[in-house]
Amino acid sequence: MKFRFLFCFLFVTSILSAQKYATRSGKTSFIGSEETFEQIKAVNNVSTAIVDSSSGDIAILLFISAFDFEISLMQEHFNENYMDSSKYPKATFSGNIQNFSLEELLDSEKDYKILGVLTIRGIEKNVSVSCRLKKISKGLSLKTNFNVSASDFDIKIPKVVRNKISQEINIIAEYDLFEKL
Amino acid sequence: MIFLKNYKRSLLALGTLMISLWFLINYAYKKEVPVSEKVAIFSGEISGFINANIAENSVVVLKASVTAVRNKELVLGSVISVQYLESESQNFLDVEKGDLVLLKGIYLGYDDLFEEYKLINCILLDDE
Repeated sequence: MKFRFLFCFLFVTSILSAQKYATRSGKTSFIGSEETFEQIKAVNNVSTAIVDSSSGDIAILLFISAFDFEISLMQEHFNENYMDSSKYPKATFSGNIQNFSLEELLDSEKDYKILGVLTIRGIEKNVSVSCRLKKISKGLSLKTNFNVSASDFDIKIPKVVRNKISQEINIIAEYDLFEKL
Repeated sequence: MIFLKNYKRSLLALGTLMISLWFLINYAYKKEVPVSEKVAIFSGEISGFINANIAENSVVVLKASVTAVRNKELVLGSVISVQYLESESQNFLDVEKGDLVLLKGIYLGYDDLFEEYKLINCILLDDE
């Protein structure tokens, strides 16, 4: 009986001590073209992310239709023709920040590697990306910049616009995560 | 006059081209309709909103009590996250926890990470 009580106590305390850092307003942007007359770029300012500081586990979710383009026609095409956002409304990432330790974070940026699974248009792809982490007041800042291939996620680019839209999409994410209460 | 007669066809073609270009540019660069001018497909309270199974990216009007106020966002009834545009910051300045608010925004979808419904680009219609 005593052993069972001790086990339950340890289990509950381990969950409670697993401190989480989160944001609901992460900035994720992408650039999908070379320097052309009208660059294809968009920003999503409502990305959500959670980092478990005890394990380094990270989860990110963003709504495709929340990507904001300067040209609304471009946004329309992006959602309807390329991303099919009514069928696949979300993109997610779940992974682990390798060798993560909250105590070792500094006020200056430090490089880390994240291994995980990126899911776009319902297609899962294992990815390994570099990121920079630093300590901020009551939280941590995460920045990453990496490329994904449109063909990996079955994003079809018509021949007529192939010289304007690049096959490699550059994704930039900047999240300030704060203690999740 | 002679000039106009000689180049009648070319001028007509040029005119048509200019008009087509004007329409094309206007179509491509059309401004997005602000939330305030969009028609809401749902208007009511949280329980009705959840049960209505509303399509993503729909405009909704909600009346609910504020259960938390965070940086540039509110939580309604502990299940709806509300985010507003920078331009609306001044209007949301006086909103406090416990207030009953009436707001209009775009329902983005259900956030599985936070287990809450997400409204964006919200505007405040009333704050009691």
